[in-house]
Amino acid sequence: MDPFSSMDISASALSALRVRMNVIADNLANVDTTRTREGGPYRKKEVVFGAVQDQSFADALSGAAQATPGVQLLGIVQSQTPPRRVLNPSHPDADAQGFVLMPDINPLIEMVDMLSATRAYEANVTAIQSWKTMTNKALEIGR
Amino acid sequence: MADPLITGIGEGRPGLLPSLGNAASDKAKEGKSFGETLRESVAEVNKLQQAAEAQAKDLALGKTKDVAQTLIAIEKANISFQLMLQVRNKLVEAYQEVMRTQM
Repeated sequence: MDPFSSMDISASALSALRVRMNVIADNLANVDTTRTREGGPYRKKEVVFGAVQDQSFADALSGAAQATPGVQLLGIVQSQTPPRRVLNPSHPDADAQGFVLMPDINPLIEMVDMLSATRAYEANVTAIQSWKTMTNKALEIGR
Repeated sequence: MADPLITGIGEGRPGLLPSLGNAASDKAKEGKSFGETLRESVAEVNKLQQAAEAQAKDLALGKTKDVAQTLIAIEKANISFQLMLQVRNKLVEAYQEVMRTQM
């Protein structure tokens, strides 16, 4: 067992939450974006996290090295919610009726997501610090 | 007048000495001396230190933007160094204890 596995688990979470923070910032920045390369308004992005899989029976049988558990980024997906139709005839992207397709992003929800990402990050930093305190206490046994 | 304690030492406790003898033969079986183990751990600590230095350099050069991973590498190096230091302190302590032994 790697002595630093506890730290590696929290580190994987820190990296994953950094990506989550980037996605939220991207969503907030593009709250009014009506043009994208794929055409149409910007679609809200969501992160998909997956747990690093436990060792399978076959792996255990063949004696394969066990991966450190933790979290991994499986991908960033685009939300499938339809864009909002906003009446704004003066907008350059307005259709014949004067409606503009705007991204379906609620800044409030993004702010709350950001808060939860920040808190989760803090929790993982605290876990690392606790592990450090425990290890340093263990080293004091010999002192 | 035979003191039970002294005779006990003189004869050697049956359970104690054979176990020491076994330890000596076990050592040959494992094939790894204490010095080798120590050298390996120092090499391991050195590896972590170098990894931390490389990460810090990458961060300074802008090759990596993950501050957390860099700091974690540095912390790993720091903690393993602390452990090595504790082992060294114990070794020096034991050496000094032996040197203080009255002849």
